[in-house]
Amino acid sequence: MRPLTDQETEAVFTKLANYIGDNVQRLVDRSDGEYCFRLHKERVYYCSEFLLKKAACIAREPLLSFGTCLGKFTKSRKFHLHITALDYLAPYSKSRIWLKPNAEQQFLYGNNILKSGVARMTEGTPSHQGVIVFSMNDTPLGFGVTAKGTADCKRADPTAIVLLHQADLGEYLRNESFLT
Amino acid sequence: MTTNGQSIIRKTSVVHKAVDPFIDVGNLLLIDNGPFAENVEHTSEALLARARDNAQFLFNRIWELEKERVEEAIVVTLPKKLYRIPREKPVPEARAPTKWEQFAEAKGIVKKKKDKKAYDESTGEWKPTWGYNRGKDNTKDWLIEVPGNKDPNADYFEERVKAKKERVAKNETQRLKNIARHTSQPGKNKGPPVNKEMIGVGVEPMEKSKNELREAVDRAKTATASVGKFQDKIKGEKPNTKKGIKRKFEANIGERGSEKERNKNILQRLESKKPKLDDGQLASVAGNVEPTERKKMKEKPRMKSQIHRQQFYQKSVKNRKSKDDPRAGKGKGAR
Repeated sequence: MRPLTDQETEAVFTKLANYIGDNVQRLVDRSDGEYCFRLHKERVYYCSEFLLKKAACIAREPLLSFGTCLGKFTKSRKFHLHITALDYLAPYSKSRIWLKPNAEQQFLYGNNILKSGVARMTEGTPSHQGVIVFSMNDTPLGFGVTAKGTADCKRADPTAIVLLHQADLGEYLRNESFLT
Repeated sequence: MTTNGQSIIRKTSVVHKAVDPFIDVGNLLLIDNGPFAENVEHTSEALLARARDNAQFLFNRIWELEKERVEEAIVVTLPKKLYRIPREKPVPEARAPTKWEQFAEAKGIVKKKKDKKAYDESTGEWKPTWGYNRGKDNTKDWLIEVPGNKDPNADYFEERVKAKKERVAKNETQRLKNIARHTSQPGKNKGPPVNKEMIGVGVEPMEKSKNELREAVDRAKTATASVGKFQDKIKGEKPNTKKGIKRKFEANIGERGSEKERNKNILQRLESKKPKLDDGQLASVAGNVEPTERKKMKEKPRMKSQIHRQQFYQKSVKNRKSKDDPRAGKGKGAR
């Protein structure tokens, strides 16, 4: 376990900013205590300083996880967000998509979202923007990247892909070993 | 016959030889036994002409053979080869006898050739003497009779397997010893090359290159208890080539707030990279500005730079007009 280097921090913040914009500041500077980012086994964890001190007592091998896993660094040193980061992305998200009930299951099985499955979408969302996916009763289901902006979506036909899947809650069942 | 003003001379296909050459059509070989004329110079042209005649002579012989047409090609079957061409590689030496072969020869032991198949009385079939599915296969025994003078509690199946393994291992060592004996014979250049230089004595100091010397110095400097930390540097000496860069990470649980400040700085740096866009500016470009806002924008006092820009523009327009006008410059003073 170690603190992130400047390059790593930049990669993490850039990825988070794609989903939550300036609200990354709120993750760094919190009123309820000191919170920090740590790298452990190529995964980035976000946790309180109190929890960090407890985790620091445990050796590298037996330490499986601590705090919230935001994602991992790939072999090519790119940062890849995990579904476990959804708890911090959903409240601060700038752009959102609400799905129709019949499209929810499609998304939760790891598929992209078509225009026919979209109930609502945040106005003025550009293409290739990080978006949080919600069900109609405001439950966060996952996140993805827009294939088309809001303006393009209005003109698109119902079978056009609107959102490219990045992560969804179904991964807790499908990729359990990959997440920890 | 001419092409592009040049005449092509076709030579005759009939070639006369004073001395008949030796021809082996099977090998496509012709040996010219004819002597060279003493008064003729051996120029390259003369040799080339002779080579051409010999080739023509050989082809004439080939055309005399039985011909067949295979699709578009004319094919001949070459006769038996007459001339024995020398082999490319030397005749292989006879294999040196193994230790057992030497012993057998000395004692006069003659190897009896076993039959490939033997009659198996238990099954009443002819089975291979050795190998898979052989007759009298003791590995298939389900019961081994314990000899009277042996330990009844020992595992004789395991003993049999162990004995077999030992025999195989012994055979292998004997084979390797035989190979080693043949390769190490004097006068035979077989086996790996032997290094004639003394082991432990390196290259001559004069032969060492500059880089090798530097590496040796670096190695010597770091070969101390303190890994070269307190070694003096000579004037103008370059740093150690082998020294790796030690990655330094921040303390895991460091000073309060230092990490937060670092993260804030990184965030600011990231934000400064992004182009700042004013919402009002965007809206005005899009044309969604209300008329009241437009009026306000008009009522704003003009900046000094804007006035200067307008004056400059008007001057440049005037100058352009005067240049284009043919009557320009013919005022009162021009008369």
